[in-house]
This record gives sequence, structure tokens and C-alpha cells, in this order.
Amino acid sequence: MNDEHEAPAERPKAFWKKVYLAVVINAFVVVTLLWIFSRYFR
Amino acid sequence: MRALDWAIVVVYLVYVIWDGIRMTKHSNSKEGYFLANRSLPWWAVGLSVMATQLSAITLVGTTGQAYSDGMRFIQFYYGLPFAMIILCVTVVPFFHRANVFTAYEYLEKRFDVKVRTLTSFFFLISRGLGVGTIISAPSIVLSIVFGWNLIATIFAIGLSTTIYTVFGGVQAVTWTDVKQMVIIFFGLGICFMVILWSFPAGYSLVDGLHLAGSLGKLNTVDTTFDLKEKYTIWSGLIGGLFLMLGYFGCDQSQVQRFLTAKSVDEGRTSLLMSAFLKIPMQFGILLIGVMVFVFYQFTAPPIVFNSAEVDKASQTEEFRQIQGKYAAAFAERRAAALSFEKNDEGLRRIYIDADKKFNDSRKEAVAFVRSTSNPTFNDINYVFPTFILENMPMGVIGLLIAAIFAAAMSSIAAELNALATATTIDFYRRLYRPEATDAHYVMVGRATTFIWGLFACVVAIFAANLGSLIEVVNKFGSFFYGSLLGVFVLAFVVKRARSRGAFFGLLIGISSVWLASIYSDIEFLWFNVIGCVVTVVAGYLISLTVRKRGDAGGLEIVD
Repeated sequence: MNDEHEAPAERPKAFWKKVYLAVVINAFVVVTLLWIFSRYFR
Repeated sequence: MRALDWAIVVVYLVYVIWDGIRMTKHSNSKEGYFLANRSLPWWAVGLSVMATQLSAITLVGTTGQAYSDGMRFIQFYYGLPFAMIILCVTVVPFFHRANVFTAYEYLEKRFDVKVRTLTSFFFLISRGLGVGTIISAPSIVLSIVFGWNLIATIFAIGLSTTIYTVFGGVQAVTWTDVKQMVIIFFGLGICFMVILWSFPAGYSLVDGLHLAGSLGKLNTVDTTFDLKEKYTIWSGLIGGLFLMLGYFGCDQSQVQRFLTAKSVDEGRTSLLMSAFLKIPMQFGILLIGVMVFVFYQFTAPPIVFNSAEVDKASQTEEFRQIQGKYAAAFAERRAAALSFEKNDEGLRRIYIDADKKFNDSRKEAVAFVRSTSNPTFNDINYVFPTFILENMPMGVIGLLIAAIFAAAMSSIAAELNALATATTIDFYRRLYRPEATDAHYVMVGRATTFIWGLFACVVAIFAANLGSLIEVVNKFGSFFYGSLLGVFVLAFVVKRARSRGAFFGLLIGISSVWLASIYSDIEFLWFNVIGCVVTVVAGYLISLTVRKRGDAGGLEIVD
């Protein structure tokens, strides 16, 4: 184990929950857009 | 290649080696050499995470796959954003707070030294082999472009990366990754524009997409549920999720990236960068492969992209006859492509039939090469480099070769650094010299980096003829990642798990994947699910046989 180091303050959990929700929404939007892309140029 | 192309490649190589070596001054302690003193900003770590995953195989293999098979491969990445969220919630804060150098270090605290050593050993085996295949891809490019001996090329690219990684450690890996990503994006952007400019007059990107789309090459979502189908939305979302969890959460080459971040938050943000950018970036790379396909509707592609094989086969009369049929099929397809109308079903049918006839003649040529000179011959990896060499203008060739170099070196460097870290921390320090100075461990880290660099070069020589390289690397990973992930699931989630369960669960998990690969037709992405589930179930059941003292959730066990 290496030496201890002082960890900076972390953002609250509520902030990260919003970020994770944004990632999930973004993933669905991207896959949906790709599906539309495939259908349009089929 | 002209003098300007040579100059660009040489300037790139000299710069990146110099840039890496100058990080030596920040790498004199073990914390500095292996973890950059946990001081790096999220954007540098995020780019390094992406650069490590984006190897030259991604450029050469993926564009080749898009050329021959379309964009179906993108589904491989659909599980990645969800994997990143799970890792941000679990692994990132946990490893940061545990102050570990390697992911496997934690397993000793949770289980025992045997589990730590076994998991680290499997990491060394799988990534040691994996980095060899990563070196192979750009070496094939160079051997074609320059006509160099493949083995000499492998050592040239492998050792140049080894040099700056030996001296600069993880600092060199990360900061060269950042610059290499800039070169890669710039090179690919220029390549994409040049391809569009090379289309016939009046022919646009949209026309090309309609053409490729009519052959199903733009299919990005396949909802078929079939374990024997390689790329579907289910294999990507489920198999890909397990693979990404294993790769980003249990593979030291990626864990080490976010361990260098300044804080837990910066580590999380660096991973979420990939969650947002990876699929669009991969789409862009695949789109280049599709545009190469469109380009070759109007310019005759080589009958076989590996020129060395053509030279050997063209000595025979039979191959010359195949070439004649191929030329006629190309002329027919070109005419059909030029008259293609997206709303005219008759013209669409003519084009699709012409493309089938063209593909049949090409398959005949490939089969001929396989039957006469090289049974394992695979053309996919030769498509993009051959296209670059024959069709890109002066300067752009050099830029793209530098981009392929950059992609290769960024991945190789990260892997070598991780292999050296696991060897030094998990084996040398833990089992041989627990009490030594920082300078001693840095010296050992440098020596092991060099040794792993040599080993990877030797593996690369054998990997060069193993088919589509990107699949070879992923298959290597899939044999181990699922089971490694299973051990970490046991550690984090299953309170009743004991070291004996984790140890034998891992061995049983890897054996199950090995058996599945031999006795079933299941595609490799599903191996990650099999390995993880079998390891967790077997590990749990074996743990139940271990007599415990006190609380089931405690670590006080008899084992």
C-alpha cells in the first residue's frame, strides 16, 4: 500500500445521479439516431 | 511515399519519443512512475483512456471491417456507456480510496495473496499476448508501405514505444496519448475530406450513403437474438457490457489510467468522456471504411489487397483468368453504381446483382490465394493501408501513417506500463522484495517495461497471420475478462465469498469459456457473460463449503 494522500472534496451524490441520467439518455438518443440513419439509407 | 511523407513520419516519431523521455524528471518515485503522483486532470486521463482503447487495430481493422462487412461492428460498443456508469459508482471511488497501485492489490485485502497473484497472473498473460497483436497491425501497414521485413518492422515500432515508456513511465504514457489523439483525429478528418473530394463530379456523401445502404452496409442495429451472430444489439448491450466492465474495471491498463486522476470526481469524469464520445467516434471511423467502399465503386480496387499475395498468385494462368472475370465484374458494377437511383427499384436491383457478381469473383480470388499459398489469408487488415498508399495525395500519406503509428503507440505504451506495474507491484514487491527504496522499484519497473516490450514483439511475429486482428485481440480478452470480472463481483457484492471460492471460481470460469469456445458456436462477446456468471456461481458455491467464524459478512474466516 502506498502512502496516504489527502483526497479533495467530492461532488454530492445528487450531482452524479443527474450526470448518470444524462449518460443513459444520451446513449438511447445516439442508438436511436443510428437506427434512424440505418433505416433512412437502407 | 515521397520525401514529405517520410519527413512527417520521422518528425512525429522523433517528437513523440522526445516528449515521452522528457517526462523522466517526473518519474523518479514509484508513485510518480506508476501513478503520476495522482495529479492528472480529467481531460488528459479521459483522452488517455480513449487512446489506450483506440489502437492501430481500431484504425486498420475497423475500417477494413466496414469496407467488407458494413457498420454492424458499432453494436459492439452499445454496452459501454452503461458499463461506465456502473464503474463510476463502484470501482472508481473504491480503488481511489483504497490507494492501490493495481486493481489486484485490493483482492489480497478482501481475499488473500493467492487470489491477487492469480488474477494478476491472468492479466499478465492476456495483455502480454494482446499487446503483441496491437504491435502487429501497424507493422503490417509498414511492411506493405515500405516493403520492409515484417519482423524487423515489428521490432522497430515495438521498441521505439518501449524506449519512451521505460524512461517516462505513466506520465509519458498519458501526455503522449493526448498529443497522439490530436494527430489521429486530425489525420482521419483529412482522410475523410480527401475521400469525398475523390468521388466523381456531382457525386455527394449522401449519394454514397444511399449506395452503401442499399447493400445493408449501414446497418447499425440488428435486433436478432442469436448467440451465434457476432454483432447484434443484444451481444453489444449484454456481452459488450460485461466485456467493458471487465476491460475498464479489472484490466490494469485501464484501471491505471483513472488511478492517475487528481480525485475520485476527476476519475469519474474521465471515464464518462468515453461514455459520451466512444460511439460517435467509432461511427466516424466506420464511416471512413464505408466511404472507402464507395470510393472503390468508381476506382478499381485491387483484386486482393495484400500485394505480396497477388504477386505470388499472379504467376499462374488460373489466377489471370480470375483477374479477367474480376475486371469485367468491376466494370459492370461501376456502370450500375453510376446509374443508381435510390427511388428506382429496378436500378437498385441491377446494382445489388452487379455487386454480388463482383463479390463472387473477389471471393474466388481470395479462395485461390488460400488454396495455393496461404490457408489463413485474411484481406481485411490490408484494405485501409493499401487504400492510403494508392490513393492519398503526398503529405496525407505521411500524416495517416503517423496517425496509425500514434494509435498503435498510445495503446502499446499504456499496456507496457500496466504490465510493468503489475509485475513490479503484485509480484516483485509483494513476493520478493517488500521493503526497498522508491528508486529500486522504479528501476525494476523500467527493467520489466523493457522485458515486456521484447516479449510483445515476439508475440507480434506470431499474431501477424491470425486473421482479423481486432477480433483476435477481443477474443484474447474475452477468454479472461468475464472471469476476472466475476472475481471482482464476488469481492464487491457477495459477502459470503471466500478466498477459496474466488480462487477456484476464477479457474472454473476461465475453463468454462475455454470449453465453450471449443464445443459451441457461441460468438466471443458472450464469453464474457459466461465467464462472469460461472465464476460468481462457482465461487459462491465453493465459498459455502468453507467453514466460517462469526459474522457471514466479516473477513474473519477459516480458509
